[in-house]
Order: sequence, then C-alpha cells, then structure tokens
Amino acid sequence: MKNFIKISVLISIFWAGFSCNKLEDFLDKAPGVDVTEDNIFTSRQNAESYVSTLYQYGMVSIFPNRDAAVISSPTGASSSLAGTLSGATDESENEANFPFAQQWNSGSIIPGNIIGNEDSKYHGRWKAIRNANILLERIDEVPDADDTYKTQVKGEAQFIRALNNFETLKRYGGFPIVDKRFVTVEEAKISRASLEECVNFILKDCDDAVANLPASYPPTQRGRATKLAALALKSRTLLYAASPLFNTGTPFISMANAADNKLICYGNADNNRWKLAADAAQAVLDAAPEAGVALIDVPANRDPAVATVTQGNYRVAWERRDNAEIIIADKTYPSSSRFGFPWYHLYPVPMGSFWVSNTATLNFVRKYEKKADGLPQTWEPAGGDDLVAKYNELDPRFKQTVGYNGARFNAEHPIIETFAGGKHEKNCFGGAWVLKHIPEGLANGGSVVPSIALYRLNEFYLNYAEAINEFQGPTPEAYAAVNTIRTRSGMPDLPPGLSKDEFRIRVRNERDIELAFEDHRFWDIRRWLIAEEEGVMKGAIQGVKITKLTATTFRYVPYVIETRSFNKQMYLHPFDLNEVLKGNLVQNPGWE
Amino acid sequence: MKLQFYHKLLLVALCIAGLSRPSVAQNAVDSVVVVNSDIPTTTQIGYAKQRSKIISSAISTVKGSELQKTFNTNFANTLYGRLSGLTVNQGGNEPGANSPSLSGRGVNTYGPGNNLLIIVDGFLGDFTQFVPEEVDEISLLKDASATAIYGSRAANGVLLITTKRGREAPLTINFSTQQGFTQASSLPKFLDSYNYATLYNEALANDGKPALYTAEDLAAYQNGSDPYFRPNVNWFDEVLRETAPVSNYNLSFRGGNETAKYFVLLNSISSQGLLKNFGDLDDESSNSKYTRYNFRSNIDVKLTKRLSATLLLGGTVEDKANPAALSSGGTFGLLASLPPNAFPVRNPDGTFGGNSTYANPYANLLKTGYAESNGRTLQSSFRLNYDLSAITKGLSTAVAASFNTYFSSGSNRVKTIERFAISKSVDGDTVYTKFGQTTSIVGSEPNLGQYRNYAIQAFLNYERVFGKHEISALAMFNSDNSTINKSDIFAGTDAANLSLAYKNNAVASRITYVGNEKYIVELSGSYMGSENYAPEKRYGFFPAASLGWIVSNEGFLKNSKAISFLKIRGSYGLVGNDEIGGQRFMFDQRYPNVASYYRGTNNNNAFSLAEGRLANPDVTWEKEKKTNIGIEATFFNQLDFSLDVFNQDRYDILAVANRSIPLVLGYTDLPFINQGKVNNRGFEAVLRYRNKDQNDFHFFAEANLFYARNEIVYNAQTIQLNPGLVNEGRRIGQPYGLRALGLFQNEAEINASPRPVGIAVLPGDIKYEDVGGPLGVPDGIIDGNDSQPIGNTGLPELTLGLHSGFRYKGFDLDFVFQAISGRTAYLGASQFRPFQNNGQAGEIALERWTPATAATATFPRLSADNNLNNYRFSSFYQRDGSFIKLRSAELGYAFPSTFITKYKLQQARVFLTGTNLFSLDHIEFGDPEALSGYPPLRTITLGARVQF
Repeated sequence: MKNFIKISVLISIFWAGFSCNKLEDFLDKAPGVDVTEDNIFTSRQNAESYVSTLYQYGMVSIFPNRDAAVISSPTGASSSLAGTLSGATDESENEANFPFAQQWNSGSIIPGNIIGNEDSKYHGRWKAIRNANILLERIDEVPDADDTYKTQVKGEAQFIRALNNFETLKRYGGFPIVDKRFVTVEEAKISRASLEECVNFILKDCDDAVANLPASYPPTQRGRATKLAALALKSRTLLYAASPLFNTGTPFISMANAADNKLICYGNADNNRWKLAADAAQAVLDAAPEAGVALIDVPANRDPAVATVTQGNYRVAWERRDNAEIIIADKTYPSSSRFGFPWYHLYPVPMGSFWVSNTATLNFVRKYEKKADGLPQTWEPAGGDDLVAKYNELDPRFKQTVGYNGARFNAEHPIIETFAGGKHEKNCFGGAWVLKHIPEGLANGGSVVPSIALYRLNEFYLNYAEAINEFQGPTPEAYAAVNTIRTRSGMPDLPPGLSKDEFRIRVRNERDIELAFEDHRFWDIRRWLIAEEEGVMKGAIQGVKITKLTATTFRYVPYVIETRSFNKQMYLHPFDLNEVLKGNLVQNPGWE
Repeated sequence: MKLQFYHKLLLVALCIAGLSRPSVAQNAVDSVVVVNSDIPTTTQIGYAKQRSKIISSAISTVKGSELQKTFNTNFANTLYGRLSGLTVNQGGNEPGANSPSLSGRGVNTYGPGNNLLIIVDGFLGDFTQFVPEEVDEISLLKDASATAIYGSRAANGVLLITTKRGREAPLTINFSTQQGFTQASSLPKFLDSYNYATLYNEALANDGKPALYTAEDLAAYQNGSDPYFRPNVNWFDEVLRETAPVSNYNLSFRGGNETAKYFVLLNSISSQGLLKNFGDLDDESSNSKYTRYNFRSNIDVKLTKRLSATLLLGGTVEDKANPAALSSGGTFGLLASLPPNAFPVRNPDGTFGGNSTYANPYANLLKTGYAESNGRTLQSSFRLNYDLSAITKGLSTAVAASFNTYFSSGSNRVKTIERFAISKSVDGDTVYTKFGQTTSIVGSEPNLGQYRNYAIQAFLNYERVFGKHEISALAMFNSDNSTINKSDIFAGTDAANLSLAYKNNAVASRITYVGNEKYIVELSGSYMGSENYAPEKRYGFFPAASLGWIVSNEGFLKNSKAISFLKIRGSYGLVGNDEIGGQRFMFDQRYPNVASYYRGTNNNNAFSLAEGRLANPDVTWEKEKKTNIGIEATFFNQLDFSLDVFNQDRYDILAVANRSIPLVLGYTDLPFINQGKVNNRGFEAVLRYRNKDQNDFHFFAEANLFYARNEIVYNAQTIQLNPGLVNEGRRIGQPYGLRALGLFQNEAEINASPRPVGIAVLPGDIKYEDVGGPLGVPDGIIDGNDSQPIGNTGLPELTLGLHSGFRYKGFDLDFVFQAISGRTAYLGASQFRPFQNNGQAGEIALERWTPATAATATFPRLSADNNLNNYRFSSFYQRDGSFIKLRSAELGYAFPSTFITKYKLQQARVFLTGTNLFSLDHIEFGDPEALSGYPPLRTITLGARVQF
C-alpha cells in the first residue's frame, strides 16, 4: 500500500507538471499569420477592402451568370446560365437552345432547378446581406476612420442590404428578414416574413441609406452607392409593391394554407400605395440635379442618322460608361473583348462571337410606334415586300436598340444581313439581332470596360407616370413625364385626352420600348399579372422571315418561332428545393 | 487466366492440403534457420513490451526475419497478407514510388485521414525505406485497449516498428546478398497495326464514315512491306526490356556484453527500372535506376549500476534517376495511347517519327533530358533510463528525445526535341512535317518534399510481482512538433498555414494487473492536446479498459491434453483521430482575399477581403468507440487459433451541414462541423499449425482471415431525390454509376428503351437502366440522375493471408499467399477505350459487338469518334477484383554443420526468392491491382547468407 501511494503521488506529479504554462504556450499559434475578423476592423484600409467585397457580392446585374462567375454556389447547382432573362419574355428569343431562358419558355422550371435557371444569386444575396450586417455591426470600431466615413459605410451597407432584399422580394414575395449577422445556425432557421413587413424593411433601409449616403463621390470612387441610388431603389420597391401582383387581397393562386397568403401579397388592395410610389419616383427626379444626374438630351441627336447613330441620345445613355444618366451601375468587370464576360452573353455568333445572344421578336418590334404620328405600325399577318419602309418609319429608338436587316451593327458589320442567305442570318429566329448593350468598341476585336446600368434616370419618369396614373388618372404631370422621355428620342407627345386605361397601355408600351433588354420586362409583366396573356410569356412568339427581293427591297413574312408555356405559378419563383427541405421556408403556391 | 481460375484455385488448395499431411518422424533440429513462425514470448505494445500470454488487447505481430523472404525496394510491400487486420493496397509499382496504402481494420472514416499511426521505436516516423534485416518486429495495435495510450491519433490503429538491438552475445557478423531480376508480370496488350486499321475502318463504318485504310494499306500492315509509311510499332517493345537487374547487399554486426550492446547494419539495395538503358546511348539521357543505402547503429550502454542509455540511429540515402522525367507515369501514359501505325520510331532520314497528336516515346526517353532525385532520411533517438528501485523496488524512469527528418531534392535536365511526320507528295517524294522544336537543355533543382519532427518523452515505469499479483504501470509524457507537408490531407488549407508545425502534448498512463496468472485487468488512457483547435477545445481524454481470463490456467483445464492454452479477452474504449481534414485552425474566422470589384471612372480594381469559410470554434477530433472481443487458444501444443470480433463506431467526423443550415445564414462556405458517423465491424481469425519439433521435417502453416464492412451512418449529404445517390447506409467509397443492362441488339429495342438525350445510340451500344430523374423517378432519359451504387470499392472487404513452409534436413521452403475478395476492379484505362481520344486499341476490342457476333459480343460496338454513350462510368466495365497472389516464395538450402564449421562459419545458406510470382484473378487483360501505368513487377533473386 505504501508503494501504491508513492506511485500514485509520482504519477500525480507527472500529470500535474503537464499543466504548466510553458506547455500550454507550446500549443498556441503565433499571431498575425492571417487576416481574421478582428483585424479587419482595426484599420480603415482593411475595412475598405471588406466594403469592396460588399459590392462584389451585393451588386445586381442583368446577367444571372454574374454571380455564378464571382461567387461559387454552395447549393451544388451547376449552371452555365448563358444569356439574359430577356429571352424568356416576348422581347427576344435566344439564338441557341442551351440558355436557361428556354427552360422558362418550355415551362420546365421546377423547384429543383430554379438556381440553375435564373436565381444563381439566391445564395449571393444572403452573403451580401451578411457582409452588410457585419459592417453595420462593427464599422464603428475602426480606430482610424472618421465619422463621415463610418456613416457612409453604414449607408452603403444599408443600400446593399435593401437592394438584395428587393431582388428577393421581386422573385419570391416575402422572405426571411435578416437584420443582423447570425452567429449560430439556430438563428438562421427563420421563416418568411409577410410581404408587407419585407417591403417596410427594405424601405427603412432605403430611408436610412438616404440619410447616410453622400450625394456624389469623387471620380475615383464612382460606382459606390449614393443618396440618389437609395432613392431610386425606394422608388422601384414602392412601384412593385403597388402593382397588382402584390397590392391585392387575393393572390394569383392561393397558398396551400390561405393564412400564408400574406407572404406573397398585402392581403388588401390599397390604391394609396400608388401614391407612395409616385412620390418616391418624384423624389428621385427632384434629387437628381444635386447628384449631377440628368437625362442625356442633345436636341440634335434625338433622331440620329445611320451614320451618326452612336451619337443618338438613347444610345449614348445605354452605351457610354458612367454617363450622366446613370445613377448606379454594375462595375464588376475588367475590360474585355467580345470573348470575355459579359459580352459573350450578348454578342451574336454570326457577328463573330462564340456563345449566345438574342434575336428580337416580332412581338417586340410591333411595340415601336411610327415616329411621324405616334401610331402603331401595321405588320400584315401575311407579310409584305415593304420591310425597309416599315423599319424606316419606326421610333428612332428602334435603330438604337435592334440590329435589323439593313441597319448598321458596328464598324465591323456596317450592314446587317438577316435575310435568307445573308451573312448574319444563322439562328436569327426573330429576323433581327438585339443590338442594345453591345458597344461599338467591341468591333474588330476591341475591348470595352462594361458598366451595365442598374438604375438610369429615364426609368423614374416612367415610374412616376405609371404610378400617378394608377392613383388618380393621367394628370398633366403624368403626360409631362412620358413626353419628356419621348421628346428626347424624337417621338411626338402622347395624344391628349387618354383615359386612365388607355394611358396605362401607352405608359406600359413606353416602358417596354425605353427600358427594353434591361432586365425590366420579365419582372414588369409578372407584377402587372399579364405574363399569361397570349404572346407575352405564353403562346405564339413570332419572328419574320426575310427574303431579299432587290438590293433595296426585302419581303417579310411573320412566322411562329415557338409556342411558349406559362404556368400561373410562374408569377413567383419557386424556392430552391434544397432550401425548402431545410424546413424553415413555406414554398410559393403551385410549386409545392 | 480467367477460365483457369477455379482450376488453379483447386490446385493450390490441393497443394496446401498435401503439405499439411503428417510427416514421418525424423531427427533433431538445426535451430539457426528460422522456418517456424513461433508465437513470440513477448510482444511490443505501446511504449513497452508485454508477455504475450497476458496481453488482453488485440495485436498482431510479424517478425522482421520473416519479411526478409520478400524482395522489394519498399518495406511496406513486404506486408501483404502478413498481419491480420492490415489491408495493404498496392500503390504504384515504379521503384521509389511504390508505397502501398495501409489501413488497419478497413476504413473507419469518410474523412481524409484513414492512415495508420506509424511509430518507429517509440516516435513518429516512417518505415517504408527500411530493409527487413534491420527490423525486429512489427506490431499492429488494433483495439482501444492497445491504442488508447496514443490518444487522439490512435483511432485508425497503430503500427509499431521496432528495430533490431544488440544482445549479450559474442559478435556475429552477417553478410548476405541477393542478385536477380525484375520483370513486368503483365503488360497491357494492344492490337498490331493490321488489326488496329481493320477495326478502325469498322469503327468508321459504324459512325457512318468512309474507310480510312485501303486494302493495300492493310496488306502492307500485315506483311510489313512499308515500315516507314505503314509502320507497325510495338512501342512497349521499343522502350522496355524484358528484365531489369536488382541486387541487395547486407552486412550487419550484432553483439555485446553486460555494459554495451550493439547492432550495426549497412545495406545497399538497387533496382534498375524496366526502361532500356537509354543513358548508354546518349549523354543527354540517363539509365533508369533506383538505389538506396541504409545504415543503422543501435547501441545500448549501461553507464552506471542504475543508469543506462540507448542511442538509436538509422538513416537512408535514396538515389533515383530516370530519363525524360522523374516518374515514368507520363511515358506509360503515352505508350498506352499511341497507335502502332502512327509513325515509325525513326524516319528514313534518321529523324524521329512523330505527329501533331503524339510525341515519340523512344525519342522522349533518349533525347529530352533526365531527372534525378536524392532523398535523405535520418531517424535518431536518445534515451536515458534510470532505475529508481531506491525509492521502491520495480520503479524506473526514463527520458527520451528524438529527431527524425527527411529531405528530398531533385535535379532535372529538360529539353524538347523536334519530330517529323512523313507523307508522300504527289510525285512520290517524302515530305517531312516538323512538330516541336529542338532546344538546349535547361536545368532545375526542385525541392521534392521534406518532413521533420522533434519529440521529447518522459516515463515513469513500475513493474513488480507481489506473490500471485503482478502489477505493471506506466506514466508518460510526450510532446512533439512535426513539420510535414500534409497538403493532401488538409485540402483547402491556405498556403500561409501549410508550413506551420503540428504540435501535440500528451500525458498517458497504463496499469496492468494480472492475478494468479488467470485474471487480467488493464486500464489505459491519455490526455492529449493539439494546437489545431480552440484553446478551450484543445485537450481530450481517451480512456480504455480491457479484461482477460486465461481459462486454461483454471483447475478444470489445467491438465487438459487437448487444450494447451485458452484465453478470453475483451476491451472497450475511446480513441481519437486528429487527421480530420478541413483546414487548419478552423476555430479562427479568417478573411481571405477574393476577386475584386472595380470602381472609379478609370475602373480601378479595389483590393477585396471577404469572410472566409465560417469558423467553428467547437471543432475537434474524430472519435471512435471501439469494442473488441477475442479468444486465443492452442490445441495439442500444435494448433493455435484466435478469433477477434470488433465493432467500431466513429463519430465527430467533419461534415458540412448542407442539409440543414439555411442559406440565409449568408456564409461563403459552411463551417466544418463534427457530426459525421461511420460504423465499421468485422472479424479476424488466425489459425496456425506447426508440427512438433521432434524430427527432421518441420512444417507450419498459418492462415489469417480478415473481414470488415463499414457503413456511413450519417454524413450530412445534401438532399438526394434519387435514392440511388444517397450515401448513408452505404460503404465509404462506394462507386456510383450507371448500371449497364447489356448491349442493344436492334433499333426496335433502342426505340423502346430509355436513352441519353442528344446522343445517337445504335445497336451494339450499351443499354443502361433508368432509375431516376430530376424529381427522383424514372424519366425515360439516361443521365446523371440514373447513377446508383454499383460494385465494390477498390479496397477488399475480405483478406486472407496464407503463410506456410517446411524444412527438411537442409532444405526449406516458405511461401506467402494473399487472397482478397469483395473488391471491384474498373476497366477504365486506355487499353479498354479503343480509338477514344485518338488512341490505340487494346485486345478487348476484338470482343466487340458486330451484327455477326451480336449474340456473343462482350464489348460495345466500336466508334472512331469519342463515344459519349459507351464509355460512361458504368457497371459494364466493373470486374470482380478478387485475386490470389503468391506474394513471396523462398526455397533455401542451409549447409550442414559439418560443412560450416570447417570454414569457421556459424551459418551458410543459399536461397532462391520470388516475389509476386503469379496472380489468379478474373481479369483477362492485366493485373487487377495495376491496369494502367507502371506495370506490376515480378522479382526473382538468388541469394546467399553467411554468418560468422
């Protein structure tokens, strides 16, 4: 027993000796090898690098592939996400079968493939929001930053959070509100909030951002969120909130549990929401001068000749990087040629690219009025031999948007040939290529820095006109707003005396024309609940077959490119199946 | 080989049966030559030796002297079939790059770390470069009781290597040499030009294209009349030789007295590769060779009455050279894809043949430089023992320190050469088209790898017998620091942390009590810490207990003639595995640099930092609860039997919670969470027979059988709508692919069957089973959704080792068979992909489907283009990967004592050793373990050993 005690004591000493500090230190890692969260917020420089990521993650683009390109998706959904969403609307038809838009056209969207077929940003948005929440939580700790900078960063974080929440709202309706950085997994298991709560959350962020953000930045910082950008986001949010999709007592399809309907609509129709939308749009127009933002409107360039088409007001507004009309743009990219991102989503293969672009449908071309009288163009169902004349009569914006037969594409392709046997005819189903977004500089192997506008000032004239008309009919202010847009592109004013319904048709058409191919149409027809109408997202989509008769005369014959399917549940996206199976999200109606 | 498989199996069984017939009694024993695998009386356990009889944990052991009968440049390759519970999975075959993978009791985790802990003389080390002559014993520690003392590193099992030490005996000098050769035991067989061209025309016809080769071409291929324009080159013959010499020289000194004991060894082993001696033909090339020099100097010194010291020193120098590249992998890849008629070795003007697709392997080896490497290993440890019997009898203490290091550097000389494709112009002249460029040689001296680790240990030992009670106890402390390039295990580790040392601290104890030589109780455990976890999560406690009952020492069995020995034992405990994968310091939230946003009117790229993978402050090691029940018995003093049954529940395996954490969390990557679970269970049985040592004929046979099956209990896999893709409930590494239903016979069958979209399917193409779709139900389309579990993994579930031998007068024979089952081999190499990627065609192409052979064809129709239907990963190319291999056989003759005493020798023996002599398997076209790359090797050597 004595021995046993001796040994026990020795062993105890042995074990006790083990806990001495020296040994503990042995297992401590030397500090400073990595940038950890704590040293992000110890210097303005590191914090600024993190703010840069806020934009990388949080900026919104018309290219669904953008997020797939800059943020790896953890959902496992692989997607090439070729092209833009335009091909899923009546605006255009993709030149190839593989782009995701074709899945919408064939009605093949399911909860299991939504990430790969439009919303690759789903995950990226939550990352951006987390990034914003961490900044809001910790930016005050940065010792070497002044209050001006801290306030600005808060405003940027609020803007990005609101922007990403709006992007979720327009796709899904109500979403889980994430107003802080979640530390534990349990915190993240939250349910969708009601649509109304979500709209209000976005509006609160917009208001805070307006208060915190500067009116403008020095040229080296252009691209960051401004006061005006936050106002613009607020206007668009209120416009969507007031629209029939959400501003209703009964949704397009009831949720499985009717009590959940508040997740996808307000639960009542309130015309006053249009008033709020109109006021928000007016606020953008009012604040624009202070930010140095104005419509591009050089009177001489309202209706440019073919030779000077690149000087056209409308074209300058979409083509020129950082132009005066842009409120904020997606600036994720370095300079690239037509083989680089994002141009290969836009540049037609017959023009010398390799991936995919879109062809303008007849459904879309029909929307262009004649510039002489503002009346619709006549397109004979049986076709005709006067294609050149018909094209020449159209709205000056037509030649600045569509690469039609006989027009100029760029210096490399001065005459577009989409007639049977022409150089650019292959896979040109609509009969004309989409020119918009393709800068002149890409011709002959050139490289261009992309800046794809997220908000331009022209939209807010139309937001205002639409909203005020819905609220109280076509007021003179509504006319003035639409006519400002028409005038700067050489179109006659709208005829006086339109009824509220007539004015609605005209302002929607104006929106289609003015904002074509800028990722508006898909969302507009959903919020207006007109996607199911024949020729919008459903039914026959037409193009024209063009035959060369003489050097200057071409015959057009309308034909049906494809007959599209639209199922009513497509008014809202389905949540990704994997996400729904995690248990905290109620699936949207029709997708269960 | 396939048809004769069962016949040969039967033959082998008969041979074994024949050998085990009782033999005629003869006279006494020459004890010099070890033929017999006696049970050792002591066995190496963690940090100590224990009497074998009282061991209550699961351990298997092999003596270094037995492993001498296998000739291999990599020591781990001598372990096939030797240790029950050890799975040795053949790695490469190229000398210097031929380490097999070793796993103890199968696969216990789907994480990246399933490696055995290798302990050389008490410290972390490597043993693959050892030679058997310097190894005393190898023990595989399997259950918790045996391994708990190694704490957080023990869960995969521990392999203890003990090197030879001196002994109190006069100096003996041992010299041995082996000279012999290696040869490829199988090479892929490819079609000659005539058959290649004939089948290529058929493949073109299948694709609806006109024939490429005319009747005139075919005739020329057949009669060899146009060797330049219609060559027929067997490229393997051009660059490989039939046999390559190997040799081994070993010299050792062993002896000592009461104060000093020593074991000193020098060894030189070399193997020249299978490539021809290109270095003899060109000064810009090198002969292929692998040479290693080993030395060892183990010394025990008694310094004072109570103080003794041990210095162990071992090292290797390894030299390797190859033409063209350090590894021959690229050469064998090229050989396996180059069509025989592509171009001649040399053109009429003496330039090298070649074309735009393929380089000329002969020219590559001869003219594109060479690569050498030199690796140095040093393993050293120093230990002081102090007898503390002054305090209490049986107490002693020790301190030890070790430094192990390895460094390998290379020397590459690289150049490129031009090659010429030849064609005939319209007027019949030979036109040379040049590909590639001849450059001058460029040298580089890369660092090829290194590790180093330092460790210190302190011990307190106690051993004492009190009457019928025997107690031994151990308390120890270990601290080590290893800098090892573990990039393969810690995938995704950022570079800044890759070179940081791994550090561990541990205290460990074991206490063994034996009562009345019948009842055994052993408790052991360790408390271990690692720097890789958060400070409050750094340490873990790993306890284990075992009980043993030597039934044969009870009165009722004491006098049994039949049962000479019987022990029942069981153990249970908790052990850990710290090779958990993920990345280092996962508890720390890091902010790595990411792709940048642009801003400003000048589009400036703004430097960006983003939140990295979410930190998990709770991250910790994998743990395993191991249960083991065993029985050991000896019958009639001749037949040993043991059986172990085990159940191992691994948990806390890292997994990403894809299935449960909502994306609204906003992570970049989900944190690694300790949540995965794997169950692994199985058994081991050993049966050993030896005849009584009472005559000239000695015989023994030992069979060990090992079976383990694992199952993923939980791995947090993302939701799978297709049940075939669910991992849980299935084995780790389970292959998933399409299930082939045979070959389509006609259009009607094709039209009535599910098919892939966008791929034309024709009669003779593989038909697959439609089991799933995007929504988890069959959709009439064959695609990735139709994947399902097919076949087994490449690791066997059942391993049988058979070691047997006999000695009669001076002659002895010893052989080791390894048989495995429950393994799938996949015919994925280029020899099974005729014409794909412009490649050549293996003989399997002769079994193709044609309308005429539709009923009997076993291979799909040929295509000259890449066929997108027929070469998908599917059960069509899976084969039963079971085999029986004669891993080693040695026939020896020991000169009689009358002869050796005349020359003042203690021993003289000559022996003929064969390694990997044959394989019985189901694969017609090669070795089931090596269907591509460097060919499997057979080695035959003649050796002689003298001891004086």
